[in-house]
Amino acid sequence: MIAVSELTKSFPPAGGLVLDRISFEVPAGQTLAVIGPSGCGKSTLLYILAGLLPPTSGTVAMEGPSGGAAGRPAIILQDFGLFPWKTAAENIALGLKLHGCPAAERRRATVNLLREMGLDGMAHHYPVQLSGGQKQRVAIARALATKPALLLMDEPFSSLDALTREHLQAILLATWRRTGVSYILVTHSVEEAVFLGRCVLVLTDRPTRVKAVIDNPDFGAADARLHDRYFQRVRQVRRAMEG
Amino acid sequence: MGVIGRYLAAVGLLLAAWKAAAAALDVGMLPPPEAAFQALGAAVKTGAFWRHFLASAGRVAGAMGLAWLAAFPAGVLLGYYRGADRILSPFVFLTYPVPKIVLLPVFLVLFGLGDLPKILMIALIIGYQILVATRDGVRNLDRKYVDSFNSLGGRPLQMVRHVLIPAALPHGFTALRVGTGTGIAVLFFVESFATSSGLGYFIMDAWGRFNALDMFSGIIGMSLLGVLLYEVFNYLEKTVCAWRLLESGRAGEGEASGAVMGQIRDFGRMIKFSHTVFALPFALAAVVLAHRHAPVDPGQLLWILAAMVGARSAAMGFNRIVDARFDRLNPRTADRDIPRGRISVRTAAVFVVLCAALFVLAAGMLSRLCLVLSLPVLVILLLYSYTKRFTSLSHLYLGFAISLAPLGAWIAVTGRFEAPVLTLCLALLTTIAGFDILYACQDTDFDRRAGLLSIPARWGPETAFHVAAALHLAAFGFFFAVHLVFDMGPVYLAALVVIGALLVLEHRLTRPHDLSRIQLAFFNVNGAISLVLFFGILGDELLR
Repeated sequence: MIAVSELTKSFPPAGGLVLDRISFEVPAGQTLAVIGPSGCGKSTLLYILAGLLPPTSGTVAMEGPSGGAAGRPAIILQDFGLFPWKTAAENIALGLKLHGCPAAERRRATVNLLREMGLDGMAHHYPVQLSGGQKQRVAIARALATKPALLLMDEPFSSLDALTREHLQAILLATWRRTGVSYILVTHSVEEAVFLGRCVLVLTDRPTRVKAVIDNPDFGAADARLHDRYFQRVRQVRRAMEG
Repeated sequence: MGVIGRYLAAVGLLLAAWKAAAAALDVGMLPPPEAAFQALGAAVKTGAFWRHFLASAGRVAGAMGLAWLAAFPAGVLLGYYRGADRILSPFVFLTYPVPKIVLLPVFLVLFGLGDLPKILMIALIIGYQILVATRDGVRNLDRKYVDSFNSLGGRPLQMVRHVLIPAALPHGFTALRVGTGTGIAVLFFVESFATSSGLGYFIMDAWGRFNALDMFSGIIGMSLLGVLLYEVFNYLEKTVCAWRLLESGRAGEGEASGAVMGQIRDFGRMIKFSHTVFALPFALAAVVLAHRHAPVDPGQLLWILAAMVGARSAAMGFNRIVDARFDRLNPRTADRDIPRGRISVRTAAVFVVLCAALFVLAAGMLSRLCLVLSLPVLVILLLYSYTKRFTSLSHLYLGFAISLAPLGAWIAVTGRFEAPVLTLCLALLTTIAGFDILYACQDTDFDRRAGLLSIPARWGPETAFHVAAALHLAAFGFFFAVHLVFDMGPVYLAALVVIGALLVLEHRLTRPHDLSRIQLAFFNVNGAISLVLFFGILGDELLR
């Protein structure tokens, strides 16, 4: 699980206070969608959780599934952050390579991930040769390669067209069911937050505080978008954002 | 007719302008182009010219290599580590605009009169450009790559390898490639002092003797050195930074040469240039054997190669034009260049005419007899394209047409026809015919529907495999006959064993209804057979 307590971040002097005492928890194997007005510091929050930025104050505690300290969480940046000079397979294998995983094992893991993500035949394509949806799948595969306990995603589907987006949301849910990886997803779409988050964290404008935490026990149903309860939840989140 | 045509036109116009200027000025130091190229032709036959050329090439290549080794890592360092950059950048940018060439006297005093000061001077000037370009490239690297890498848990040294160097390479390479012009210019300058080797010296020396023709040989030599170096760097850049070219959606860095190379690649693919490897070693083997009777000089060898390439390219290009109608319909071949529209029929026709002209020209340069024979040979080669419309034995005709290669090479060297060389021709004929039957099995169904004739289409793949096996058995017999007729030694015998094994392997790799490995069988094994034959014969001759 991950427990965030009183997390504060300021960029002195001009940036001022960005995150103001943010606290929340994500139990092991659960998912969280973070939603809030644009520019409110959602990305900054993810960067801090990923260890790419130090917080000004407050703590982030992470615990592995078995109770020990969890490894570094994986993060998927807004435009995927794939290295243009590496092929899809090389991008996916990079995390394993950096941790000294032997070549044969790396290859096996990469081939499996490519297949799971429906990327057979794309192994030797460079990112520029891939479509937006394929790039996103490579990015997910790269993040999952090192088997992290927590996956952080910064508006992962915002640059994709509607059909590709729904397809990838389904892939993400399927991956979550298969691997049990926890994820925290930043989004500006209420529908996406309700569809993918076991819990929805609503943030205020800057300085950013937690406005509401909405429990979403019905999330994860493949045909959720057909049910009234889904729309009720969407309305609930919208009201929370406006209120 | 596309890029190549425009470039040929530009070359023609430049030569015409040169010619006109030479005629108009009528000064001794500007000879007309034909005289200059004639002088170059005479110069390249001398050892002295090549000694100067190699001295220059060694200096400039060594200097640019040195510049790269020193400046590229420094550029990466300055670009990434702001601390180092803050301290060192003032030095770099204060000295960058200073013309380093003025320090040459100081270098000559410090490093003596040998190659060292020359190499260091060129390296210093090019190094600055690489350093600055690489540093800027790394500085402008998008922050997200660094973040992305750190999130994967990479350590700083790993980041140098996986992020900084690959991101910096295109910038460094561009500077290196663009620096070629500067490098050659500086080379000329430093070679005009305190040395008696190198093209710079060669030019200045000829000038001193008022020998304009020698001087222009040197000038053209230096230009060629520049072009060669530029293309080497261009190739390296394209190979190492392949991703970058895909990203910019271009076939090559530098609009012009990239487009020319792209079109050359299209043509190369159209005529399957790489397949020339089948027939060429047979022709070269004939040259080696003919060398016993009449010594071969390098010029002859060059023209034989030119004739081979010209004849083959013309025949293959012609075949693609004639077959375009069928290729378009056959899924296996629909992606070829003419059906796909990458090359227009008209462009391909011009290409065929040029290749045929090259063939006839090369034959004419070899001997009068060759010139006379080249025309009927051309007809035989081009006729192949129509044979599969009226006979199932087109495979044999193809083998016959290709087997003219060793025969032609033999006649080019010895000046007459002799029966023994027929063993080599027949070996090639039966090998090719057998392969072509196997290859045609892929198109059995298509050929039947399209009304094209082939052995598999007429008698079915099983029979075709038997015929191919019989032909390859005969081929092995002819390879053995070569051994007897030319009184070959142990190396050839060893090659013969390998060839036999390769032929067996070929038939084991393919089955009438499993042609999945036919590409492997056709290209790798076939190429290996002809190379083994050539080296077997060459090895034997060298041991004689």
